[in-house]
Amino acid sequence: MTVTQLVRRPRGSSSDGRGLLARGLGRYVPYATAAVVLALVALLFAGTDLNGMPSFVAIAGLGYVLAQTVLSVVIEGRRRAVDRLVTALVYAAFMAAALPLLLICWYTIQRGIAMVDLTFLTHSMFRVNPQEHGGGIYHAIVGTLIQVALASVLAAPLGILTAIYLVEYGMGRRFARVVNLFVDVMTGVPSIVVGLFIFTAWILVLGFNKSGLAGALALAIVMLPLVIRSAEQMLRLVPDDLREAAYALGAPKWRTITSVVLPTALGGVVTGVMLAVARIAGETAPLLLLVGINQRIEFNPFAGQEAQRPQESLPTLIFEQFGVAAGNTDAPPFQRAWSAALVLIILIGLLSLMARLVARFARTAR
Amino acid sequence: MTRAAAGNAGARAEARAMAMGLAKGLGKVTGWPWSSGSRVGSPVAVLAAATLLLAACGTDENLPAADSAMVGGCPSGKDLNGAGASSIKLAIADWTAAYQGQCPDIGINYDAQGSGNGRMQFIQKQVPFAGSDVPLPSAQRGPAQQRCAPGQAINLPMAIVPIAIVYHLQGVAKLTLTPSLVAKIFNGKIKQWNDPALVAANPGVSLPNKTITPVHRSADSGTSENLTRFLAGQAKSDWPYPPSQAWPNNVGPGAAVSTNMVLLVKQTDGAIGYVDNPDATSNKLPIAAIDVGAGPVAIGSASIGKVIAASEVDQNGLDITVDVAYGLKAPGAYPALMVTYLITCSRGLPADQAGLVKSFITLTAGDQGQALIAKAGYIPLPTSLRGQVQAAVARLDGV
Amino acid sequence: MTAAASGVVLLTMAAITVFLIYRAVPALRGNAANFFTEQRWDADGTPPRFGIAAAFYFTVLTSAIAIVLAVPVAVGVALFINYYAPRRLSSGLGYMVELLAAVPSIVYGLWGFTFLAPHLTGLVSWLDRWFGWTIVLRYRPESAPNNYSPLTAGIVLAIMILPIICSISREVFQRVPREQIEAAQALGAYRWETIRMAVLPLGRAGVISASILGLGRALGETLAVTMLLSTAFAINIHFTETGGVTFASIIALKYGEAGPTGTGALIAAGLCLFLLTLAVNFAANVIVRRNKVA
Repeated sequence: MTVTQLVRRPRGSSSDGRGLLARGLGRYVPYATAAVVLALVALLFAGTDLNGMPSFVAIAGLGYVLAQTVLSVVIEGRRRAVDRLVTALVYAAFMAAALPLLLICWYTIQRGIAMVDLTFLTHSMFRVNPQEHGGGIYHAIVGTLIQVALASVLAAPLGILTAIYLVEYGMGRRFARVVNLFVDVMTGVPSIVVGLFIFTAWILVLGFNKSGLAGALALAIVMLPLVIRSAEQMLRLVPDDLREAAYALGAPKWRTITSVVLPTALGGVVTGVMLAVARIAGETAPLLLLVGINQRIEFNPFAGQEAQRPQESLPTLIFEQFGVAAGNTDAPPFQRAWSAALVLIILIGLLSLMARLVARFARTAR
Repeated sequence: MTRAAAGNAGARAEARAMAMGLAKGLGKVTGWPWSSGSRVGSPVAVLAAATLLLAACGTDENLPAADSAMVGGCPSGKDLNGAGASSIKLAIADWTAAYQGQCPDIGINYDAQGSGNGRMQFIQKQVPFAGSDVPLPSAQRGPAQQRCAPGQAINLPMAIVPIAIVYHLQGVAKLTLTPSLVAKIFNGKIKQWNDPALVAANPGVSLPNKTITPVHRSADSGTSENLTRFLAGQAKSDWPYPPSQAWPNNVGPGAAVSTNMVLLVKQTDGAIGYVDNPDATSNKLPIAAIDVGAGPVAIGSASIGKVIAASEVDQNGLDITVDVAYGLKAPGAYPALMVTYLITCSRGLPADQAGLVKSFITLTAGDQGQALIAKAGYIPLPTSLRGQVQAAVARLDGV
Repeated sequence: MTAAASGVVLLTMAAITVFLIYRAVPALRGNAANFFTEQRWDADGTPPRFGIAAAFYFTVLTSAIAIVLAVPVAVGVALFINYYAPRRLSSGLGYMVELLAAVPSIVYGLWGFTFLAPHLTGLVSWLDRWFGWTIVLRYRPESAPNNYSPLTAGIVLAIMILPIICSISREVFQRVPREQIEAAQALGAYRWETIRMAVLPLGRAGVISASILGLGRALGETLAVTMLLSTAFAINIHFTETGGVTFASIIALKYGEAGPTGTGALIAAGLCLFLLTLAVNFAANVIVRRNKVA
């Protein structure tokens, strides 16, 4: 029985949550209320100059919540009424969030699905005129996967270790406070400024070339604060009882952390890392400065000017193709860009799913 | 087996080795029990494995490799990278396709992030050539010369990009504007489509009583710079601002890049904006004719050629710049245009890059290359200017 | 080991800070206008004149709109997924929300530009009708042809940062100790009362922390905002009218053509954003601490 289940069924199994209170809105009252409210709003719309589906839904919804709350206050008392009101608000919040997000997905799928096929996924753009049909985004998929993997390899261990330091060792130390402050500030450095920084430091001062690695470095910096902050939150929520129990068994601190604290917080930490991965996978601005473009497949993230073939990435490809289309929504590059965006989203979805499975597997395997 | 296929196999082997190295590195981290590394490492390891798997099924082989009989002087091996003005991105795409018809193993990558960006990347030795809507400005001459030492940094006119005044007005298929009207519209002085001044310039056209929405480019751009030069040259009294790549006023909405400009104009009845002619052509947007004093003139090689013929061409060594006669009032001239340059080094590039640049530019400046881009809405360089450029290209250091 | 990792993080940050200041100072020295009150941005002109007044105003405005809209909704969605939705759906929904963090910002931008903005006319006319008296929400169609306005940018930003706030809040809520919830239920609390008594107090710091991460993204978002604001370098108090510019969008708009002074000036803009975030974080920390005491 998980925490979630406990909250979900607070009192017995009665579906309307009546519980011990004898008086309550019966099973049919909500439906009746809804019917009456709908009728009233329809009348209102017929009688005044109000019109349009969105405002009808909004007013009807508002009216229903109001009516329900009033009824509930009168019949069931204030506490139950507040509970019902909040339930309605939570549902409304979910709807408010789901609508635009669904719209974006629908829009991307609608525009992107047509071009996605096996050729699209396994071919590069080499020797393809971007203004015409043909070619694919294999080279960009490879680039994005390698760059994101590199960034994760750099940022995830560093971020998690820092979070452990902040939570387990830092307590009140000045160094920890300084680190804390800088992590906060780091969340506010726009990715394009990170890109400028890497460009100046890595390319101009140290003399390296544009490459997948340069992009990965910037992505790692963007990713770091996200990993640190989310991991820190999860570690802080591990109950001290667990730590104390481990200490009581004579476990040293590092052992407690590695075998008690981290496994407990694992799911959350993985979620945090995956969110960060999702966040950087679509990051465009720094890559435009650092990665360069290439129509060919390039597996080596260190390849830059020397080999004349820097690595492509999905976000830069999307940007480039939108640029070639120049607003012509029927042109192949425009469709190609939407298809690439769709592939990027699906790719991240698969990665995220994989991370969840791995986390679950690791937990049960122990 | 062609060379490309062999290269592909090599790349695959390389990828495999890399993925293994990655896995080995992770192995070290994973050896540490219950560590953070193993948790996050595992998905990454799976990811590496997936990459490995993917590596086996991707290909660059989009067209059969062409017969090498065609190949005259194809430089071998490496790819050519360039960066700069987005105005010639479509021309570069066409040129690249033509070039690869002859040299199928050479990739050409053009990073169209703006003229300034291209010049900066060129100076910082990131790319051997840059596209730019203006010649190297004096402030960048010095650094560019340094980059090319012992050679010379040169501007080579490569394409003429007319600037199209595009509009969206229901029921109006033909529109004529004088430079002063353009200035007044983008200045906010004329606010209605049926303004008497507009009606007077368009006899026989019924202009609706609708608000004008003038759209400008909000990102700095060569198109804005050259349009404002045209306005300053033609209608000084109505356009008080100095030419600049940043749009000088806050009249009407701004569109970040030409994609946004095109979409905004398409979406808004009553909108007017300006884009590079190729973007107007590919979107089939209605284009206003310009009347500099002797009747409406549309974009075409004759009307553009008149302006170039009246412009002063400066040649200094291999460096060629065109001082466009934006103020030209001759009948049949369309002076809203920009000359887009390729900037490169006369000498001083690494040998392999120099060969690539020379062979590519030989194609782009050639008669065939110039004819190729006319369909997309560019104007080929007029014969005399083209001859000058071709002579300069022939003297470039290279294979 | 962990301290070393923190050291690396610190060094990275210090390097970025030093770099920003080092590159920004020469440009700021050459600035002919007052950096804090000038609204226009002409850093490559002679003499260079640029200032952050407009950028500061619009950055704060769009991010504020985004946070005000996103945080309640995100917390609501987190509660919905954890405690209200049918159990079978909840992990799938959580996964979906995470996935949406992966939509590239350029896609949000184009979606907002081509789809959302033109569809918002109804909303802004409605706002104008009932809230036009607030002046900030007054709407004149001719001054915002397709609703490319700070309000639209704020709404799109809200959608963009919602997944991040929601996912982290959800994880935090899930880790509330079971005993606390059982205790609340033993007292006969309703669902909402259980959440209010047991879940929210423990989760509050986490929600604030998640909101700060979201705010960080909103403040620094580049491409989407650049598309949706339809730039103007002038302060406009009407939320629904065209125009505006943020620190990040200045960088995106000016970077392509910037000269040496221009680049320095853009980095100065980055530095301002940096300081702004610092201030916001301080404020958030103070709030968290006060809440803990209370």
